Amino acid sequence: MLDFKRQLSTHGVPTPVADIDMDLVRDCIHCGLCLPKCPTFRALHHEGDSPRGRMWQIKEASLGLVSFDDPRFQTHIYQCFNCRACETACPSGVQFGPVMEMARAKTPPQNRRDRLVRAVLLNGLLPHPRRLRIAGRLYRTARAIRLPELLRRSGAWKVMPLGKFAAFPPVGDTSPRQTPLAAVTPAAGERRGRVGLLTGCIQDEMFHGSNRRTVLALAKNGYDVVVPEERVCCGALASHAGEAKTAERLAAGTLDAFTRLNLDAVIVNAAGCGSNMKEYELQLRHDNQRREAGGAFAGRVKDASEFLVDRGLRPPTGHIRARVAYQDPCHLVHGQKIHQQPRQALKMIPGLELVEIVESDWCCGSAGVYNLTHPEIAEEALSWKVKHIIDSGAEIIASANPGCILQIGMGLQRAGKDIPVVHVMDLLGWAYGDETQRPPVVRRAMA
Amino acid sequence: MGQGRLGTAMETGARDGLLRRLREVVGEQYAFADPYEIRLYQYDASPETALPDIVVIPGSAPEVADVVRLCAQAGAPITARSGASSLAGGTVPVHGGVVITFPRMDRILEIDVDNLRAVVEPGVVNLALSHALKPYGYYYVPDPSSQGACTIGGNVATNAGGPHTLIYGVTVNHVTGLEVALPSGDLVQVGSQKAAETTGYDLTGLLVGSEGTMAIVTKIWVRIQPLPPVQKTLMAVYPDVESASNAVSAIVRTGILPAAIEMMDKLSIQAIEAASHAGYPLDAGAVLLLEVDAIPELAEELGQRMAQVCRENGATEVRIAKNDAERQALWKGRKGAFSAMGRLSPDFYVMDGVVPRTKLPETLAKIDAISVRTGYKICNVFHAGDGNLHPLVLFDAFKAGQYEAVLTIGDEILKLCADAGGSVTGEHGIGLEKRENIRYIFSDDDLEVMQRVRQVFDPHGLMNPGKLFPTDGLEPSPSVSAPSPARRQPMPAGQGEDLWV
Amino acid sequence: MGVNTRTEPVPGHQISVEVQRRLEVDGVLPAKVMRPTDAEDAARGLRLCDLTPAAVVVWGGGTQMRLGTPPRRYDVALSTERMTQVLEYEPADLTCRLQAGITVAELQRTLGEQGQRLPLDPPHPKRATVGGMIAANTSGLSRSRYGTVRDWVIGVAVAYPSGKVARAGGKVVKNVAGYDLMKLHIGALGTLGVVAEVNLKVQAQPQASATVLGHFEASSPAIEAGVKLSRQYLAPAAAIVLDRNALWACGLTADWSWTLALKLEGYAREVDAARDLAARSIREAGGRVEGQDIPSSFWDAARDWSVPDEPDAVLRAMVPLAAMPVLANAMPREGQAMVQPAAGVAEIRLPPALAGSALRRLRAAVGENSQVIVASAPPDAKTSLDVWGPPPPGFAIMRALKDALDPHGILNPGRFVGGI
Repeated sequence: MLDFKRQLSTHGVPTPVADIDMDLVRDCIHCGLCLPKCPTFRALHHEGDSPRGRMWQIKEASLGLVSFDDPRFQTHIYQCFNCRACETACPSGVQFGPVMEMARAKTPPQNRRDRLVRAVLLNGLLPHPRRLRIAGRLYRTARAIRLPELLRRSGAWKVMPLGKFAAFPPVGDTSPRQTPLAAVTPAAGERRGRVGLLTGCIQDEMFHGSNRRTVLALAKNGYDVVVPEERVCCGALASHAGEAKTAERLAAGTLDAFTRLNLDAVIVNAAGCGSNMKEYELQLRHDNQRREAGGAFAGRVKDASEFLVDRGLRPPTGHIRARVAYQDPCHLVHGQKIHQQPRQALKMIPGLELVEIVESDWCCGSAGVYNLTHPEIAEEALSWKVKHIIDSGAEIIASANPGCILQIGMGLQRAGKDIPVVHVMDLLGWAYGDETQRPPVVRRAMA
Repeated sequence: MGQGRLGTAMETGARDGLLRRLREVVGEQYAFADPYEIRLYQYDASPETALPDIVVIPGSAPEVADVVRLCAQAGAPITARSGASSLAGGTVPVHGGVVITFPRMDRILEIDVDNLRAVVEPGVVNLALSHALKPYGYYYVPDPSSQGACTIGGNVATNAGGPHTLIYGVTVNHVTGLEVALPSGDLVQVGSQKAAETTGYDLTGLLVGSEGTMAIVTKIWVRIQPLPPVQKTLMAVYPDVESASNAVSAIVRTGILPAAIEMMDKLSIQAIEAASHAGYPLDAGAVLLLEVDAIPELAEELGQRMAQVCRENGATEVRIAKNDAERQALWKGRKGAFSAMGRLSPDFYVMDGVVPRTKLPETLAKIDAISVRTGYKICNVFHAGDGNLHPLVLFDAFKAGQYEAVLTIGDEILKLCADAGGSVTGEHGIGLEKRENIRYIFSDDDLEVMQRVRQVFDPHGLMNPGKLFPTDGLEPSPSVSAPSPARRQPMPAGQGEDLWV
Repeated sequence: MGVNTRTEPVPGHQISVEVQRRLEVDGVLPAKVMRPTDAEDAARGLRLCDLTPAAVVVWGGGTQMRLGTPPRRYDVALSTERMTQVLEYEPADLTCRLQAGITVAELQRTLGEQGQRLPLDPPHPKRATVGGMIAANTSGLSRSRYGTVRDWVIGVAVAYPSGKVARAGGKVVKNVAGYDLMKLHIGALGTLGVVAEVNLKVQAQPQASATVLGHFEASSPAIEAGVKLSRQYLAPAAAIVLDRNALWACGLTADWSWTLALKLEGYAREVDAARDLAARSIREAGGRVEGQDIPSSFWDAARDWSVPDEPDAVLRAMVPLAAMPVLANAMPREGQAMVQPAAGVAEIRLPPALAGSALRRLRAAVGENSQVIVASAPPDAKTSLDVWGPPPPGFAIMRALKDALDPHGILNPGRFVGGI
């Protein structure tokens, strides 16, 4: 066995394998600046579970020096949160997320839990609007009949699969019935443009109210808000997990659905989705018809806070007198480099005091489907997060991604903390006058 | 380079026996020899690679001591690897053996403001320490550009510097005591720890910068310093590096003591701007970054005076950072400079030469001539205040012959630094990379004394072997080494009477 | 002591009884003297001594010869008096290269012509040599602000008993090539080799300076005020607390028992701000501020105070800053005391007869992580004093280093810690 340098000098530089963009892989100069920012390196202490180690493995696999199918390669590659904190830390501009997705696409996971999650959730449920609607109704019915309380009191959640999520659900929606969003919501006040909203898959079933408040905030700011008739899933979860085919198909559908509507911008309130849609050029690189359109489309995709703040947010009038901390979703802060706008939006709410959480830009362990496939490591990351939130003294946590809201909400409730975790657009919507689904803390803060 | 053995060197039986014993010390998952996993410990931030036989991740100082003892008993080479951000191959296990890493030993053990000390484990990241000290109003001064990832343990090994060491000194000036594990398995505390001074030889000063060739550091006492009330940072733009160099000398002559003086040349500015949008003008021939620490009532005055000197010496533009955000932006570009070179070229080779400050312009001109002659682009990003140059040679390792060509260029650059009265390394260390270049500044006699000192700690040459010393001819020669009756010659009659009158 | 078991004649130049007396160390007289002119010359001399073997004591200006335990043997005095050249000095580089025998005053004069200085102030600079400053690690009163000798030496050429000259470090201020062997020789009292050439980092002279005195009834508030100031950004260049006797010895008188003297240096505005801060701190600690008409000779006298011409004993305690108050309480009432609160150092000058009991009391008070040594004492008093105290941590390594570099033990035998 030879080390890398000797291997290359002895055997020459091999031809890289197909479907891997070697230029992206070679951007990494293994300087190591990413290591202290990597949650899995902190939890596991192995170089193989650090961004640099993963890039190295992908480089060696791409050159055929190790195998993509090697179980150890798989372990390290799928043990990654893909939170992309390493991208923020990287001075060489390595696009870790896309590289990781390319690598995952080369090697579907072998372990049972991972395969099950993929079969059921990523391929079986999310891409199918009807199935998703049924699942959503089941979820909300379970909440309406107070199943979570039952699970908590009986302790049954501890032995059930996914029990912790069932027993400690987010603030979100609880009514089994749902009023669908209007196809077009007209702008209030002076009209500034016409935007579309991605309602999303999980987002719309579990956080339909957040979508409604996002529409309200956009309309209050002078935008006509259009929602595509056919529900679309952008393919983010599939893409981040390396389900390239499903991801590509969903990307094409999303692109087509919005392109038809002739919009100034496509607004996304789920960080994972926004990050994915901003990379459609890469996602659709094998689709000759759509590749270019993907790039142009990506330029029109905006996160809700990014869009509202960059265009000049109209100040809301409703007071929320509370200490609020903003938790950066990885796919917003690292994936889209959006750090300031959500904070600025929150600061414009009268009475709101914004506090910072230590390591607010660290992953909470939700990481797409990671908390389902790797619960132990996800739990460790969650425990750091819960501790920092409690230490911050915040009364309300605002975030901008359904996965994070679910995960952190579950962690805080389990720790016995009555700190609601809501979307930035929820707080903004309430401050603009929406009165539905306000958690008690918010009601008190607005009284 | 005639390295002899490269990487993995142990016989399977011996390796497995040692692995078993190491696992008893650190636990199953923290010692391994899996052929796939050890491939992830063959590299650092340099272009060098070599495979270890075993990797160990100890969790405490006593564990490190046990690990070192077991390795020494087994005759296995020991290489410490902490942040592995070495640019000189310092952590590459060129003789195989055991690599010890420190991600589990990343605790700040004590912050003792009363005694102006902090006590840390070797795996503490440099910047994490300063972050932890900030609420107290203190900081740890040495700030290598890799401070977001490099560890205090690694800093001690290489005597790391950084931009802000110009007036405050490098790592050795800020480390007061160490706990180290010796090959004997003993944990020894040396130095003065919390007292100002102590008696005896300055073993702390000797161990700092010894690149892991004497002992493994397990605990570090560092001096902490009050944060300066204001750090005034300014950027000055020049048409070329020569006028910028002259400005540096002019500032030094005024008696102002800047805390940092950094320079970047045209090519680096372009790479940095592509990477971090620090706000450096793209058409500049050179950018100077100057910073002075002061009290608020003085900062503005000093900033203006430095700006004036910059203008008088040909600056086309001078920009003073108005707030901390602007200051951070100016620094962000500089700190990420090396890695930003990834934007210009798939690979680069970074040098670490030093010349007397007054020799900067002529040295830079010579480097430029090398670039023109060889056709390889060379960027210059460096600590202009102390003459510490970091020429970066850009190349593509996947193209045949380029790596070898670049090594030759590097060698030539270091030679001209040495000839200018400088050194072949200012802060990265000799490591694996420059072990032959060390001959440009040290004679066999110099190296022989160093080797003798090393053998006091490491008689069998197991501590990070293959580093720091040239590969050949350094076994202590019998004529000058340990005492032996054979070498005692009769005294020439009368000598000594007339020589030293 | 001084009993020779060798068979070879002692190398070196024959000297008169008068010169012998002048080169006495703790009552022991040398047989010969060597006065090398450069590093190679010194190395050749050492080689001859090593072959003999003959014990060598290195002489610079002789100001620190009362430091250390009496030599076990002493045959040859190796004097650096002919090695006094400034070899290189480029003011714009802020570095210089010198022969070790140059006096500190001569060095400062050379640097001063260019508006520069070495910010170390060892006692008696007109006699003290740069080599001696390195061997005895005498940094002066400004060490808390400017550091000690180890922070300013960037390179050395050392003559070893093997007959070889070996260099370490270099001429540039930032340099990590090879081992930092400079550190080994600093404070080693010449027991590992003879430092023949020295490369130094220097600095620009400060724009302004000032002195502020604070008078106190007791030592503790004065020391605490000094410690507190040293933790600030505007820390004084030097801070010393003197009792009335020490103050008198430095040429000043006061009605108060204790005086905190502060030397402030830096940019003019910084000195102004530091003066305000100092005055405020002194008042807050209950002291009375005096800042006018302090003669410049005061700091010179304070600098030289720890190396008295009188046959006093001087004890030096080195402790953590937070332990300064404890130390203050344990200080003997007799004699004179000078404390450097910002540096964690306290020195006591007292009649030799009282040194033994004072030493024991101080050692008991300061505890384990601190040291108390006898910095100076007349030869007859030394026999009853434990000069260095218990060997420092890592002593086994020190012993081995000594054996590696000076295998026959010819360099200053017996004068260093633990009998090295």
